[in-house]
Amino acid sequence: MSEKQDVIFTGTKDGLYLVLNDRQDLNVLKEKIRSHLEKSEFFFHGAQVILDVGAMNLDTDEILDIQNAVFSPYGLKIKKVVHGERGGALRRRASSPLVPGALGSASQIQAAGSYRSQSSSRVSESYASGSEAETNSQTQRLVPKPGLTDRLMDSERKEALYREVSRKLLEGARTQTPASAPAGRPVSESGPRVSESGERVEGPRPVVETLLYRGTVRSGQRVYHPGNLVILGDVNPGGLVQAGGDIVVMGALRGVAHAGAGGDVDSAIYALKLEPTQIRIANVIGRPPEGEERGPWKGPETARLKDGAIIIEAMDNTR
Amino acid sequence: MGESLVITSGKGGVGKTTATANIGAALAMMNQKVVLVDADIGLRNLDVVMGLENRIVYDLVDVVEGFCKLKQALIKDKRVEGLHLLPAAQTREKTAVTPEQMKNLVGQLKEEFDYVIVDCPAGIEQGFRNAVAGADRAIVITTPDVSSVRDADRVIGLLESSGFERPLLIVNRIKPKMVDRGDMMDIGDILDVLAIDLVGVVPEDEAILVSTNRGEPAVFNGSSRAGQAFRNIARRLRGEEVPFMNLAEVQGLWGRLRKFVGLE
Repeated sequence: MSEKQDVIFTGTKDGLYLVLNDRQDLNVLKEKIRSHLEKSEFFFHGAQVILDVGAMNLDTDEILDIQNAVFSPYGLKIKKVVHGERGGALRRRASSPLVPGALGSASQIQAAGSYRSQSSSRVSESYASGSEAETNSQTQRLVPKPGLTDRLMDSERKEALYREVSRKLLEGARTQTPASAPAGRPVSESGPRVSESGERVEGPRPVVETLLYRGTVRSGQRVYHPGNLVILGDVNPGGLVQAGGDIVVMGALRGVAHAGAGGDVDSAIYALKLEPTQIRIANVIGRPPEGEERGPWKGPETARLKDGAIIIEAMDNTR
Repeated sequence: MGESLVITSGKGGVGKTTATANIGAALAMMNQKVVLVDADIGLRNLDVVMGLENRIVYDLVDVVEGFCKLKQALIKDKRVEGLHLLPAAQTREKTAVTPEQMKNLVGQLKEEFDYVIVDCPAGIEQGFRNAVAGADRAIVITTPDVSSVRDADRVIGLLESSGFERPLLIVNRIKPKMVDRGDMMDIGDILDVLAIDLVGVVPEDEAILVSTNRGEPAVFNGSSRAGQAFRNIARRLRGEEVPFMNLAEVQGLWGRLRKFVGLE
C-alpha cells in the first residue's frame, strides 16, 4: 500500500468523492488537493465533497481548516466526512461493485443542519442506528486495517464530532466549542430507502439549506433540492418538485411533489392551492380521491404523514 | 429589419399550420411583407393549406444546402401582395437542417421581410429546436382540452429555458356553447395553468375546414368568425389594442329583440 496515491478524486452521483491517504501528513495532503484543484478549478466548482479520511482521526479544527483553506477558494463544500469505506473498496478492487446508495448506508456522518431542534432521546436513538450501520460496513470491508478496533469503539463519539463540524461549516461559526454546541438535526434513517415502486432512493439526507425557486414549474420540468424547497409560483401538471426536506408552493400545486425524498418522514408539503396529481412524503405515495369534484378553493393546505398515511389539513390547523 | 415569430404547440393537430397561414395572410393584407417558413421537414402541409403546393420547385433544405438561392425557393402568393412561402422539403427529415442553419436563414429573411413566421412541427425534438432557433417571439397555440394544454405547458417551459421571455398564447377551436355548459375548459382555466399573455381566441368554425381543403386561408373570407379572430390576432401582433370578440353565438332577430326588451 506504500505506492498508493495520496489523493484520489472520483465523481459519484452524490458529489465529488475524495479519498485521502491516511498515512500521509495532513499538510502534504492539503497541498496535493490544492494543486489538483488548481489544475481543474472550473470543472469542480460548486461541487459537494465527500471526504474519505481513511483511518485518520481529524478533529473539528482540522476539518474546518481543510474546508476554509483548501476547498472554499475553489467553491467546494465538504458534504460529509467518512472513514475509508469507498477508498478501501477502490484500492483493494473489491470483488463486489459499489452499488448506488452504498455511501449512504455505510456512514451516518453527514452535514447535518441545525434548522430544527430535536429531542435528545431522538438524537441518541439515531446515533445508535447509525453506528450499527457503520459497524456492518466496516467489518465487511475494512477488517485488515490497523486501528480499526479503536475506531469502532469510538465511532459514536466521532460521529458526534463530525456532526458538530458539519454544523459549524454550515453556520460558518468558528468560535463555538464542540462541547457546548447542540447537536444538529439527527439523521433518523439508517440507510437507503426503497420506495414503493422498488426504486432505490438515496439514503439519509439531512436537511441543509432552503432553495428559493422563482417561477412556474411546468410540465416536464423537475426541481430537486436536498434541503427545503420553496417554489414562488405554480407547479403545473406534469411538473415534479422534490426535496430532502419540506416543500412550500406559493401558488397552486397541480403536479407531483415529493417531500422528504431521502426518507425523512417528518417532512411536509405546504401549498396555497393544493390540487396535486400525486403527493409523496418519504416513501409513502398518495393521490387525491378519485371521482371527487374539486370544490371551491379551501385556502392554503398542508400534507404530512400521520401514522404512515398522508393527511391533508388546512394550514391554520397545523400549529 | 423585420421580426421573426414561431408558431408552436407541442401537440399535433391543434392548428399551428392553419394559424400560420391565416396570421401571415392577415398581416400581408395589412400591407406587410410576410414570409411563411414551413419548418415541418418531411411532413409539409403549409403549402397545401396555402394552395401553393403545385408551385414548389426548391425548398428550405435546398436553400440550406446551397442548391439554390433563397430568392429562388420563395413562392409568391398571387392573392395578396407581399405574402411569400418558403416550403419545407418532403423527401428529407428534420435532421437535414441544424438550428444554426435555421438561425442564419431566418436572419437573412428578416432583412428582406417585415414578418418571418415559422410553422413549427409537432413534438419537442430537433424539428422544434430548428423552428425556434431564429425566432424573436413565440406564439403557443392550444385547444381547450387537457392534453393540448399539458403539451403547451411543456413547450412554454422549453421556450422559457431557451430564452423566450414571454411567449404569447392563442386558444383555438373554442366552442362557446360547450364552455357555457361547462363541458369544455374555459379561457380562464387555461390561463390559470399556462400563465402567459393571451393574444387571441379563435372559435371553432367549419369554414376553416372548407378553406383548408380549398387552399384558401379563412382570413380572405369576410364572414368567417375564425377568419375575423385571426385578423384580430394580426392586429394585436402589430401592437394595436383590439378587444376580444364576443364569442356568444350570433342570436337571431328574436333573441336580439328579447334582449332589447329585457326578457333575458
